[in-house]
Amino acid sequence: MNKEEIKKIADLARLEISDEESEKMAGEIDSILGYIDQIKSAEISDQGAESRIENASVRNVMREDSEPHKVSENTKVLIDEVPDSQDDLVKVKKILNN
Amino acid sequence: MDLSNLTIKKTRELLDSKKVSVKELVDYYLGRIEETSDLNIFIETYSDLNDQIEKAQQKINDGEASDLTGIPIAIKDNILIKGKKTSAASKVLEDYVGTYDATVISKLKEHSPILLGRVNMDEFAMGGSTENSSYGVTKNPIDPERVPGGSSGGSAAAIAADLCVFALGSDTGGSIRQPASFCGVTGLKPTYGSVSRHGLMAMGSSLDVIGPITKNTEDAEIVFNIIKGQDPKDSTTINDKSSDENKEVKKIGVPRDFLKEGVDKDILENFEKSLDKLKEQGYEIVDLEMPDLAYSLAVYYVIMPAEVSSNMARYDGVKYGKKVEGEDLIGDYFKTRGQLLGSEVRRRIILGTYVLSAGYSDEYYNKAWQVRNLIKQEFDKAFEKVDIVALPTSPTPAFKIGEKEDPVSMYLADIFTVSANLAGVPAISIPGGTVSSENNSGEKVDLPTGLQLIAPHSKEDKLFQVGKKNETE
Repeated sequence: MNKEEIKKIADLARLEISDEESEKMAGEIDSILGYIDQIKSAEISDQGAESRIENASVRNVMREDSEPHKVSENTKVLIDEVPDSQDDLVKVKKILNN
Repeated sequence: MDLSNLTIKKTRELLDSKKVSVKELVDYYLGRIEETSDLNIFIETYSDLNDQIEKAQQKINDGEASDLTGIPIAIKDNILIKGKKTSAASKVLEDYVGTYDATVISKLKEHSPILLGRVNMDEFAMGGSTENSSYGVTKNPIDPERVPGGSSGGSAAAIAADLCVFALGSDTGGSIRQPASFCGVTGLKPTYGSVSRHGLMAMGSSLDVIGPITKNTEDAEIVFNIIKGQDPKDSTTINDKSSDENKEVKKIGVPRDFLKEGVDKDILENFEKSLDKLKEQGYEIVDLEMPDLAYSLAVYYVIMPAEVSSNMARYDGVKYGKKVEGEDLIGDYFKTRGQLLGSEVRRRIILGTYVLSAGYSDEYYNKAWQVRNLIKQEFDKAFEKVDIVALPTSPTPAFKIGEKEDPVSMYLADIFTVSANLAGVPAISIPGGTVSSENNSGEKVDLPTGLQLIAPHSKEDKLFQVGKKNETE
């Protein structure tokens, strides 16, 4: 991996990354991928090639959509943890230009 | 009175017979925490201890005490307690206050224990040494030049330094067992889904589980029985079917091919001694062939970062925690995540995003899941022949602070622990003897090692059976 590839991935992950760090990270990710590459040599039988869902022992658990929280029951405690808020609403910068 | 190294049972006796009060007990531990503050184990002790003490003592006086009433406990900094700061040792959550109790905390609170405080860890549980904490490294109480292991390093060190009766940790790839081994204590990673993760900060959701770090196996069993159980708030929890059989353990299997490379010689010698001891106790030790175990770590380092990259998306400076201002909304995301998440967390996000990205997900992520299934099947087959699989917990004893600089050498410390998480099976690390080493001043130190026992799904009772016998004989 090179610096530019790391920057592209960091972009997808919404991470600011300096030139210096992406350079260093490229080497580290390369060595990790070098280690991981051994899974390519694992032999998968036809049976093992089934989708992972087929083999999962834990499945989706559903419940009735009922008994909702009372309106505003948890608002204050949650809004208190929001970095930027106004009138019990989460505040973010505008995303559409005039 | 000597209050050192109290187990749950012993503490219960002392409290119930009024030989010691809850306050005296808490004062003892607060004194210990103060004396050992250089080790940097506790991030914080809570300010409401007096209220907790009063409540617990009242319950004891009224004859209403249950297993954990008045028992002082330390909690890993990634498990939510309502009204208490919980940061996962990350700058991004530095001032975050828990908005509800994790299910494990609610279950503990039914007993009115003493929640002493929160203990150090690797940021968001990512690491094997507690060096990745925004609060600085925790030092190993056995040799302060060394790491306590991780990511539940604070929890294990708190037990080794005798700062509480037991602690909770979390284990995604060995984060309870490896620090337990490095600190010479007992750590249980329960069956995936046996303990609710509601209120645990997610790291690798198909792997994470909460478990106890304790002074012996009996304590691990007591705590596990209290925190386990199906929870409507965590749809991955399962119905526990463990206790209805309780068959006697006879055969213990050892996948010897897996031990051929990358293990310290003295760790292997200790492991053989532990096996000899098990043999003397009447267990039959048999060799197992489990060739796919060799892929465990590689599979883990695909699946775990993939899940990390998804779970970490929530730390965007909008919903909770801290925020670094950018020019626009997306600029807020980039700056907050770039500046407030530590380097190991960012490395795993990038690795995870890469293995999931178009063009690579078949090669890495999907293939890793197929191999994960092979590993799971390999355990299923092994458990047709034996009751328990034994491995060393870690290929080395505790290493020195700053010793492992490149990520791969740090990751290799997990080589024997990740397979239990991949297969979802329960595993325990119990003390497995010591190896001799030297500290920087040339003094001899005996470093603890761990013996890891792995059982089939929901068969924690088998681990407890062997662990308890091993401690008494």
